[in-house]
Amino acid sequence: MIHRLVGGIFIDSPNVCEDNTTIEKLAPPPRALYPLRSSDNTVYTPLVASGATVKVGQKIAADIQGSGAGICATISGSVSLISNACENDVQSIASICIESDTKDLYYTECKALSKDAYAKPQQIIDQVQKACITDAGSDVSTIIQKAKQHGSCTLIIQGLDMPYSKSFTNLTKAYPEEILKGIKLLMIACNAATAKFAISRKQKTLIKMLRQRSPETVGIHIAPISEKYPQAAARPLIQTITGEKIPADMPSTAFGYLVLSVSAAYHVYRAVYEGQPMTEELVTVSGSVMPKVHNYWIRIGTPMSYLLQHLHLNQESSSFGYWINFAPTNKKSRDLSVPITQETHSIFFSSEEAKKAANQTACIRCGRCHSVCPIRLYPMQLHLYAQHDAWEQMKTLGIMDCISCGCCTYICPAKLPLSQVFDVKQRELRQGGNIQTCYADNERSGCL
Amino acid sequence: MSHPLKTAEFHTTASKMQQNATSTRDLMLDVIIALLPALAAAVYAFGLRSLAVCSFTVVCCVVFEWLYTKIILKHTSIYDLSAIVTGMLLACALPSTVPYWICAVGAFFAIIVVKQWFGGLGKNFLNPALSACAFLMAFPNIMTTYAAPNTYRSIFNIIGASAYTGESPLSFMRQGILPDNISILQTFLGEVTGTIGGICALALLLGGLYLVVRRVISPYIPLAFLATAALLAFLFPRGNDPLSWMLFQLFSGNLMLASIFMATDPVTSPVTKSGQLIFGIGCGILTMVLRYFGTYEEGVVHGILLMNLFCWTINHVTIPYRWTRYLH
Repeated sequence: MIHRLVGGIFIDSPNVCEDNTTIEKLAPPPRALYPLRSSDNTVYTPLVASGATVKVGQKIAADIQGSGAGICATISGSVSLISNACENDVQSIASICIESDTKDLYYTECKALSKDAYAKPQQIIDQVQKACITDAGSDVSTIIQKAKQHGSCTLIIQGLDMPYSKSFTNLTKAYPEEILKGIKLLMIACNAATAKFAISRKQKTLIKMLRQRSPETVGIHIAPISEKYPQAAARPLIQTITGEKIPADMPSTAFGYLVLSVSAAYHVYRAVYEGQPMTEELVTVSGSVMPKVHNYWIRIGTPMSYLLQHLHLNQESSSFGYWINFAPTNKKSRDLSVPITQETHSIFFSSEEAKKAANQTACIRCGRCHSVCPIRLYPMQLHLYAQHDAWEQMKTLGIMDCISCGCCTYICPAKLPLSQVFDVKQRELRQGGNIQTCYADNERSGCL
Repeated sequence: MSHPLKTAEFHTTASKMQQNATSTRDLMLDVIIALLPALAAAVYAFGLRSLAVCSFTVVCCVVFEWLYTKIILKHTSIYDLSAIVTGMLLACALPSTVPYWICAVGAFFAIIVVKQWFGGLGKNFLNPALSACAFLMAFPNIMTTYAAPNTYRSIFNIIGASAYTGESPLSFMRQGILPDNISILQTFLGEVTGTIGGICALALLLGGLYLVVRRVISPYIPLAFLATAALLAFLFPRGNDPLSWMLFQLFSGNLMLASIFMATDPVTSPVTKSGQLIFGIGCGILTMVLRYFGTYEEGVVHGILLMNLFCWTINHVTIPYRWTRYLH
């Protein structure tokens, strides 16, 4: 059975269409950066002092008050604490910086679990926490524990790629056995009876290859899904596979759904079976300025400038920029100090001249925004209310349900910045205090 | 504090990768293309004068739109082609015998009064072409003097002519009898007395199909509209042949033109699927009621205009509330 996403748009990514599945390794950078705040607003406290020497895999920062989630070093060298390392578009973030000693020494305290521990949930969760595995900006051990509170839970493994990315597909192609074992471990950890493995239905050979390993016997079901953006986002994915609609102000874990990416499953396998912390991420690197697509294992914390140096790209041109995890709502960035994080799955370089903004015309209520909205909002009506600050009407039409995927902005023939307006309005409503903070856990995976 | 929407910097078109190329202009262009078969049928039936009427109306609409935006110092909106669409639709609803001044008056009413005085494209609550048509009913002699097919007259005939006119199928049916001089096939193919755009049902259906395939209109409004009209005509026929009565009702007058091109105007029709069905059914009922009991032989114009007024209400009723937790 093929599941179909409600709404959504087709974004063709011609540069990534070629099936280049070779995975290369990018050498460790001379300098790595670790922002002390994740995209779900967890603030990390440094565990090491300036000047200390660390090894690969050593925990250097943790969320002390909260869950105990942490960041681990991905190169060995000496630590320096800095503020304002990278200019985010909202505000600068304090960071930890490690200058490499080029030895690439591994921290040996994180060990593989013994065989009898594979079936013990608590030990797996502890190991996941030790390995600092995060997914879409949230700590995996924390969300597993949240999902466990619900009792029975359904695990949804997200193997769908974003536009201009093939990293999840290539990861699954290269390590099918490891990923299936990782999913099994995750199922044990969160006490899930079944797991759904969402894969693009276009990847027929991949689906066949996975089915040959008969994952159904251990409760893993392959769910082929039509290829559309924003299929990778958590709530549309849950709705597509199970039909259940998660309210905006509830985390999906409260309904017993745990959405994790293939990358998380792979890293869980590595942590439990091999004692490897999450130090690198598979990233699809492509762009209009590049002759071919590369798939790199890149150390987390590698600054963009190092990647550019490696690719011999000329960033002189004033229109040069890149997208991390391309989405219609994302901004093209020029900041070369931005590091690769656990959330980075694709990088697209472009030197295309920024067009003059197309003239906005009036909304003629053609309804295209509604037809592409993955959660069936009425953006044209919401936009009308947003212009007049009609808060009550916006709330009743579900502005807080908007996942900022940007489909409406993409399709709008009048070129209205719909999604961006809703973003501003959501922020205002939340600051108004009459709506509690949206849970960010895994919510925007693939959307921001 | 300043208004957040005005201070926030929106990067609306950072790249062509981030925005679909289709613009409002493209939608309007599609409507223009879809109207071309009907126009070709009109030229075949009534000669070049129908084309001249159409061109003159379009030019009037564009000039009025341009002048108005110049006078009130607004950014000119003629490039979105909506004025051309309005002009073509208005001309399609007129007989080919009209004097040219009627076109200018109609264009003024459509563009200035109905569209621009209510805020321009997207803000009008009535369909401009239809309301201009309703306004021109103030000249009933001109508006109901239809040319008979294959009676060509000069495009230089400025004041229009009342010679060579024929009686339209609807005027027969108002008297409760089926038109005896034409067949159903002739009304379907456009060999009848009637308006410029309304005569050839086949060409209009082709245009409608094109619009549905291009996703410019949704098929719900025309389907609900035509089905309701057909059902009512079949249930309450005059004469003893319900089927031919129904088909004559469907293919004659402006019913096809209005249901495919005018009732589906996105600005003045509901956005929800259920709303569009309600809208279409309402249009169908009002049209048939006006055709059966009204003063004029044609009922679609006022039928759709009345339903236009309910558009906002229908939207309100049919857009589902989202009962998320914070509302309770």
